[in-house]
Amino acid sequence: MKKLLSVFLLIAFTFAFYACGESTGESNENLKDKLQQEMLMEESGELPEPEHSFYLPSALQIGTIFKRSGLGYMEGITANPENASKYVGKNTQLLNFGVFSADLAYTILNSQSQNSKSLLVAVKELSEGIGFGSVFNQNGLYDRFESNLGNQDSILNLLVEIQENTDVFVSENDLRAETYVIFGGAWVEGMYLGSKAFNKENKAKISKRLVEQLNILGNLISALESTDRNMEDISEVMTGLKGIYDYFNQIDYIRDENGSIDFAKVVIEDKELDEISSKIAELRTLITEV
Amino acid sequence: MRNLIILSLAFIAFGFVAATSKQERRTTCDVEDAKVKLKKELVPYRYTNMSVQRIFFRRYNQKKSVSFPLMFDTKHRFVFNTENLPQNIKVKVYSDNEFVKKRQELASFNSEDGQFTYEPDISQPLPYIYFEFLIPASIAEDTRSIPKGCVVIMVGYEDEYAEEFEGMGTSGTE
Repeated sequence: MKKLLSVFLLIAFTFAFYACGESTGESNENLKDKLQQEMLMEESGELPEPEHSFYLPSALQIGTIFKRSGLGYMEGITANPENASKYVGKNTQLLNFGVFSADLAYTILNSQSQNSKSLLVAVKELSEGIGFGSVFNQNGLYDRFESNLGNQDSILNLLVEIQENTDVFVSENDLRAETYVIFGGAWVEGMYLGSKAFNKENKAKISKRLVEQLNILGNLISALESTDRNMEDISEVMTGLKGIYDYFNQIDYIRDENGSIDFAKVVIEDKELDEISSKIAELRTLITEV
Repeated sequence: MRNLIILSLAFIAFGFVAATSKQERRTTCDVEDAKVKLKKELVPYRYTNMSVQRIFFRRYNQKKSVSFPLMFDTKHRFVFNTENLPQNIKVKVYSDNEFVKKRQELASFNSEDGQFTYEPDISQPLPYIYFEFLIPASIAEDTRSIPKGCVVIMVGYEDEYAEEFEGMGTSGTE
């Protein structure tokens, strides 16, 4: 009887474990509850659907666009990967996951294998905390990433694969609100890197990109405000984002009479550029400090 | 002993519900299959992101929209897979959101095509592109359940080497 019970228990636990799939930890328990709740609501037609959804560029795309505009590599400006384990609170972890993702894209695009490796560890560590761990566990992605770190082409393909897996994972688990917070961190870090690493030669091109990204900020704020996610613990970050957007919006001379900006031609004065850079640096400190 | 059996049954029940709900999502929207088809269509553009729009056919007409940012000097490609829809919908492409009176309709597609591609005109740069889904009213046979499906959109951008490869085409396997 005892033996039979053991087998029964083993099957039960195995089945429950399989059903949880790639999940681990408390955040994934919540995720399952959310899924079940939504299934019931879907069946009854009660599931609230957003009438409009926003999509934001990936950290890799922002990095690529800045690089194409001449942004070079500057040692020591990426966030400290050793801090990854020190972030507590889901929203803080999501934001810093975005920060490290942007840094990872930046170092990979600039062939900085050693820095990429420690940033990858940080991204993986935070991914477990926010319930995205399975993204890295699929097809031995993390191990493949680690073993290909010296090979630029392979590593870029793997970064794209991570993005694809993340997009599928997000859609299957309805995690759009979480991705908006992640993008918030990635956006701030992308802008920080862009504003830190420009020089006389690339300034004109980079500043056009910064203006283009500031325009995306409007969508990011709308996206964050469109969800019912509790963001009280990162309300200062929201205030910081809005402060930057308000400052950007009052720069009249970069807009035509209809309020549109010609990004190909826009020139932003040093005074405004410095002010924006300083606001971004402050916000980045707020996000990354432990 | 009895408690252990109850605990085990609870685990099985939990596992069953979780597995079923996940499976249900996958059957109404086969993202993996769509992803493979979309990836082929995206070449030679580089992958940016993928969006899964869940579509619910209700007893009244509905509109749903999604916007994507565009980079000013970069060509983008949007590939739509509509094979996971139980009924047809219309997808319209706009230069602006619905609150802007002067917005232009740039293109229109029918979901019955199964898969289609849209590339914004780079000579008329826009900060965002808007896709609007027109979902017609519908009622299920049993009048209770909600027919549902999804549209999967994959987005890519042209890289800096594109000009040098113009006219060479792309190759691949089916």
